[in-house]
Amino acid sequence: MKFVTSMLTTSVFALSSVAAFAQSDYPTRQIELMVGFSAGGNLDILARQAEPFLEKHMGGADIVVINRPGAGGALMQTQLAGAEPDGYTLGLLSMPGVVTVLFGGDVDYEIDDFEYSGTFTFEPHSIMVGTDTPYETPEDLVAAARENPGTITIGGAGIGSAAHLAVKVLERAADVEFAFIPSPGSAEMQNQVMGGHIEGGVTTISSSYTRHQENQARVIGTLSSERTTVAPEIATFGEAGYEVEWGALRGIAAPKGTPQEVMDKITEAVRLTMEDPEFQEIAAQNNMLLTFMDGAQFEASVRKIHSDLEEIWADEPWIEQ
Amino acid sequence: MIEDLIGAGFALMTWSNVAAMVFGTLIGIVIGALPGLTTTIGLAILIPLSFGLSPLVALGLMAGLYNGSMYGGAIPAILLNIPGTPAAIATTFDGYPMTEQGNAASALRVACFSSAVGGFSSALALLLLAPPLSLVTLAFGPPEYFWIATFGLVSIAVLIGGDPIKGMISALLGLLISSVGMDTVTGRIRFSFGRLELVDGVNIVVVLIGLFALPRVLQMAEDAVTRGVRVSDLKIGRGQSTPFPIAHLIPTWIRSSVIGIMVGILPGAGGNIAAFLSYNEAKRSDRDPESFGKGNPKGVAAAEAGNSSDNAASMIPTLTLGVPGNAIAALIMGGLLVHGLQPGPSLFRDNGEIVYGFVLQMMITSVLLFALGGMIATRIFAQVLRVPQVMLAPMIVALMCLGLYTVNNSQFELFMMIGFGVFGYILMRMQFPLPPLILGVILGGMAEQNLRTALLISRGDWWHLLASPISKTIAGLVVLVLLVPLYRHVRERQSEALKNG
Repeated sequence: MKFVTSMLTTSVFALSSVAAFAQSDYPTRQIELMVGFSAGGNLDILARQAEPFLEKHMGGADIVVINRPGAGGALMQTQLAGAEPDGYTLGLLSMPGVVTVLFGGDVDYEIDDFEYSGTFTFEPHSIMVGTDTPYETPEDLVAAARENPGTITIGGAGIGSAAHLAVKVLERAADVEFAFIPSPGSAEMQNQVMGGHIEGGVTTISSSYTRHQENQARVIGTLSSERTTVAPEIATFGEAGYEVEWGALRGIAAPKGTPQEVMDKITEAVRLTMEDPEFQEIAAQNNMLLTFMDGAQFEASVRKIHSDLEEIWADEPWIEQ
Repeated sequence: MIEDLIGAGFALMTWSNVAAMVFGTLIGIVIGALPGLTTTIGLAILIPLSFGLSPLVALGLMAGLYNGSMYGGAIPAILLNIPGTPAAIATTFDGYPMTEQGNAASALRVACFSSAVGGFSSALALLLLAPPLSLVTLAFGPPEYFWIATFGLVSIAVLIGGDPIKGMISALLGLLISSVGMDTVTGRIRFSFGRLELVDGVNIVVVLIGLFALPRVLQMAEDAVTRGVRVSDLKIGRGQSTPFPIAHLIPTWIRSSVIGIMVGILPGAGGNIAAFLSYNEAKRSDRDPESFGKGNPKGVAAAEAGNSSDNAASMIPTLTLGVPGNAIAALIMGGLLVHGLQPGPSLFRDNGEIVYGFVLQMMITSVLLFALGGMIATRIFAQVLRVPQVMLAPMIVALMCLGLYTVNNSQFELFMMIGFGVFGYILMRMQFPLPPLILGVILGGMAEQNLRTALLISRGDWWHLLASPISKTIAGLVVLVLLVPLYRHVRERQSEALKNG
């Protein structure tokens, strides 16, 4: 066994030195951009819309988007962590999902297994409530939860999901307690809110805002400090004095050990894509909230969320072991 | 709604969409006409293969295949006394006697017209009933969904096949499979055996393809080996065929369509039940019931209108509630899921154009039968009966594997599909019905999730499950369906007692 391991390590070293040798003219062959969700999902749409621009800004590189759905993205992330660090296997990560699956599951990658490149979007989560509930502002909801701890029903995708942890984060920031009602996904949660079966729910602002505009539900605030460009009239929980910054941050990562020079090229391509007016137009049509972070900022954000969740987990693990 | 409908109408007027409907209907007729190939196997192969197409093109193929195969089954039923699909069994009763009397052409014409009329009225019911129903379904909360899922499970387990015990066992196996994967209520992962591929649960499309396509293919291969390839010369009687006045069939069509639509909406039954019921009803209400079974065109009309008018109607609960009532509806639901379309109230709200497009496609493809199911075409289709089954089987397996791999790029799923296929074959040989199993997989998770959510919302109060009038009604229906085997048993006892005493 030891022999095999050392053989593998040697060959990995050998290959990475080959990669280092060839990196100056990177890319010389096809790059795989993996997406951990099925075709047609939000992340897949982002990948496919960014792909031609990344190709253009990487000097006519050949990039192909590959769907590797499973285990809430963990299947792809595990593959990415174990892939050759030569810049030809990349993944489009979606935070906080990359981190949330690390708690209480069978996942064996770590946030240290990746090199982080540029991000495309940050979309805050938001709280929507039924139109027949009395809550109009973040303060209303928090005050009601303070009065009746653990009774106000707030729905969202299952335990341990981004939506569930958004509620946890808010509970801690405002020092209140809700009754979290897990549902199979965001669509089911929205139906339950609109039908008056639960009082509120958590989902990203672009999906909740559609219901708000249709007067089927009311969005009372985003879980962020700054208002969004797609829904500027929606208040934030930050304004109301609750310090939360929770949303879907999407950017590119590569396996650990990918040469810095290659990472810089990818990050530069992401930056140029984000500045491309044509891409901005497409993003606006799709209600994407463009936010560029470079690799260092992206990594810092991942580490911050990870340590926050570790703290919550130590305090009150949300999955029984 | 009207906007979406008009939008969908325009969206369908592209070459690719028209081609999809025509092509889908043609393949459907061929698949239906080949004994051994059924609507379910056709859809199971088509769904993964259609993955790369745009949703409307894929759904157009599915709608065509559905309506086409329901008519296609009548071709060998009439010509050879072999039903091409289970739904065409009742068509043989009068169809084959008509052929023996030299009226094959007339019988095929009646079958084609009746299928088209049945399919069209069914699609009309879907168009008129589904959108208002989808608005009402917001009133369905976790308790109501729990009962609906239970009702679907109980109905299919009890009503399908002759043996309710085997039906129940099959449904329970489905429940067991549905418990694999992440438990969203606690976040714990069940029965994943450390495989990340199983964390999201067993992919429903894999189960559908494995259970519905592979066992049939194995059976075909087995038949070809054990019985040899049947070479029969096919002749369609020309000339002597006496044309039957189509107008005389209108009352039969209306009666059969109503029966078929009702059978379609209720879970548990499929086209074959609809065909039997309308055949019996046509016979019972006719002035001359003795003429049935001896080549009465009304018998063919009742069977074919009955089995086709179940088609679109069975999509009503599937599209509005996400609760498929039979195997074909479950497959179409799988087809929607492959394209990221989640059935339920949000489907009509968020993907109006696509869902109305599908409704229109069900309507258009049934009308297409008039054109494509005509005499000349049918003569050509009848030739597919000459294709030796031994050649078809490996081709189908290759198509299945290719299609499935393209969906998620997963080898694991390929092996899982083959595993389910072998499992399904064993169950089939042991006379276990497979549809309850697949509905167990789909509805089991739904029943569990909604039961637990309902109890979370009510904070442990079980009476909450029966709080609303909708819950009470559906729970009552569940009890009624569970009493059916008991009722049958008592009746049998009585009739035996009468015979003996």
